[in-house]
Amino acid sequence: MKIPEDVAEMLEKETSIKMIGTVDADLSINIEHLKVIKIIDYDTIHIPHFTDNDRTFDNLQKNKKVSIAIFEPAIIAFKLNGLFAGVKKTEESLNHFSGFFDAEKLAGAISIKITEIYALTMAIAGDKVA
Amino acid sequence: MPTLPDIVLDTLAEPGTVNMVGTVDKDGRPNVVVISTIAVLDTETIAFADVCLGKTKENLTKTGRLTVAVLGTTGKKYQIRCRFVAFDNKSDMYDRWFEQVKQRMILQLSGVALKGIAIAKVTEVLQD
Repeated sequence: MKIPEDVAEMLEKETSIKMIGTVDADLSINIEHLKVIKIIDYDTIHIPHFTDNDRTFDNLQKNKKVSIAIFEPAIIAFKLNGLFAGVKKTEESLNHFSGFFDAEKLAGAISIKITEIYALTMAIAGDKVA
Repeated sequence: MPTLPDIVLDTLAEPGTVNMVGTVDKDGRPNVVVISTIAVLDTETIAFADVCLGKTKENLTKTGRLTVAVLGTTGKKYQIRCRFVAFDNKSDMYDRWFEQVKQRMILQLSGVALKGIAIAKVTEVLQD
């Protein structure tokens, strides 16, 4: 699986709307808005890991499955399924997010391996794109 | 029963608000999609159109859990956790929605049809 170029562009675009869904032990779904996503390689992304009240990270400790929806108004959208692949705490990984958040709020970068991508745009909704 | 506070109702009513719906399957796999038809039926009940729901519909019928993420134009963020009630395609409400959804969707794509209306009860509201 390789993240297609158009999806990668949308993921890193500041104006696209990105949300990540994770699930706790009681099957309660938590959805967080992501200000920023960093593409690391052909199938790996990083999202910020926060020092306080990071429900996404808390859920990923028990259930590694994630679903990310990205939306470019008005109608272009994709859904990415993936798996939690650990936390990176290197200076480089923190630097990706330092322009968006105060340094003391950042605990590291959550690494996610993308496993599937589907179109959500109306005409082709549900089509697997990668 | 938890109810939707005024601030959430106001945000849902803003034209530029983006709503996403998360569901989960029996294996704990989440599924998040963009839904543009979220409507408030009363302060305890929300609804959205089933135009081309795939995995979302399957998950709702199997686990009944959903969360609506609301992102307002001013950056206000809320999560509305809900319990799925039913898909309605028989009541007067369905008939009213059919024309409204058709009019809205025809702007994006011809040939789409409303299959039903997903109805859910609010169980918890979180401010992010």
